Amino acid sequence: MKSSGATLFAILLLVSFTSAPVAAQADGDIVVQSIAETEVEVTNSAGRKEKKRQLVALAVPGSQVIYTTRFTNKGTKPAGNVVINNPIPENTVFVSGSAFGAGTAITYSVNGGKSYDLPNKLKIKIPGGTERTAESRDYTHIRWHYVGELAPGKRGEVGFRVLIK
Amino acid sequence: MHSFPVFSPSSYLSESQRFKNTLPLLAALVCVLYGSIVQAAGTPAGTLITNTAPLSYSIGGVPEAPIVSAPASLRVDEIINLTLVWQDGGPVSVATPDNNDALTFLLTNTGNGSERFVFTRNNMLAGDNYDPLTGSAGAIFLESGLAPGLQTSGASADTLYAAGVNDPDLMADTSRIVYVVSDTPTGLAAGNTGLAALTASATTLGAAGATPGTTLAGLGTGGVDAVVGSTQAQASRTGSYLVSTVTLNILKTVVSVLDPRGGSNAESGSVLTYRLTVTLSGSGSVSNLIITDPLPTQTTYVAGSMLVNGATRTDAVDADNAQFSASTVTVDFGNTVSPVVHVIAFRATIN
Repeated sequence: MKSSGATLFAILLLVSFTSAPVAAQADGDIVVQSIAETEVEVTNSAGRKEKKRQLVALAVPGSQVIYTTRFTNKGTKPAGNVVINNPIPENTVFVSGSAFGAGTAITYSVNGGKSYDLPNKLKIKIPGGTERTAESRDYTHIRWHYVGELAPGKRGEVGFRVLIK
Repeated sequence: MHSFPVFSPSSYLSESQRFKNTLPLLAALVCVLYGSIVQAAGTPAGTLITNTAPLSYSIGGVPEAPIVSAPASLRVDEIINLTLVWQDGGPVSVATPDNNDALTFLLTNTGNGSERFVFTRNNMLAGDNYDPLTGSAGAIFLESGLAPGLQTSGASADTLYAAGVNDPDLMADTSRIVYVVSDTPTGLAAGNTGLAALTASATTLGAAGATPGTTLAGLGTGGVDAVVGSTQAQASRTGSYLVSTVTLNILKTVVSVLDPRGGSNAESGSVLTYRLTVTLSGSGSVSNLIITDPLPTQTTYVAGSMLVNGATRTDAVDADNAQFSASTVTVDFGNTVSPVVHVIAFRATIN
């Protein structure tokens, strides 16, 4: 039937546009990868202690995990306004001052990602009507804003540390 | 560490009195009260933690579809920890001979996953005058929850423990009362003390006694790894009996609960006022009567709140007869003539 066929086509179109936003093969392709690691102290072959990172699949409460996100411009055109809004995972506590990312401006949200600002500008309302400056345990999201454009072939690396609750 | 009184021989009566040391255990009630408020043990074992990094960008000023990385996932290991605390607050008075007197212990699973525990008792400790005997009703009982205190039979009977048969499972942040039940030999002198120890061990293979940090691959709740925590998955505590012709009774109550809004709700931040009523009955005297009361694990002592018979006492270890240290209220009444009643009061807030 013509009308149901048209409806079916409309539904299929709707489904394809609302499916998970996996990057399609097009100009300005950015590939994003996020990993979780722990840092252990090992004694190297020269007998000196050094820190070594390894991927982590299991972690004990109280241990520290390093999340690193790498992004690469695999396309032919420069990408602008590259922004990562990273929710701080549930059951973890952000380690104060641990956010890193060369070439990025780092801001935080304390309101579930609605707005972002520098640490000393983030305020929390306290019962009684006054405010206090937010501490790292209040942060809900971290934002990295890559400064300028990400040229084709270029990559960036950002990340942060958490304590498992 | 517990101290027990020593009788001076000249003050005894020739007959010995049979009695029971009753101690309604508010500690257990308080644990049940706010077991659901505090999660001291950490994220539940097996929990999946994921990190995603949604990235938005534009090409030529035109926003493109945002990209989300595949999540970096990890699961939370089980950490095995426990605490075992002797609850009686003072030596348990027994007659000579006597039957089925209980030492009360509180086992708490302070890890983040469910764990099964096995118990053993040791009657042959050094530093006492006699070795308690395994009780005629049984060696160890688990509180059944039907009535406070030990009942070895009847409608509210507690559960006779048999290793490997009914080892209890405790979920994270939960507690269980365990009784060591003993008979007392005949012919002892008043003032004689007997020590008995209870050991609780986690049953995860390889855990009990292992170095903290030992990882037991795949043996955690839900198949994650189990990691032995700082308590080494095992705890031993010693309780004491005191052969006495004078009855010692310690009644512990929560006199009031004050919540942050001025009401009487028991919740995080509420202030509990505890009262210990220490009653000596019968004629005679006790020298070095020392009462100890460990604070329930999920409370914080209110500094300077201690009163003994209505008079303020300092928390510090100093010249007055009371102190608060190592999470324990300790009051030393020294030479005490019976009968007498002493009242100890202090406040603690729920964490």
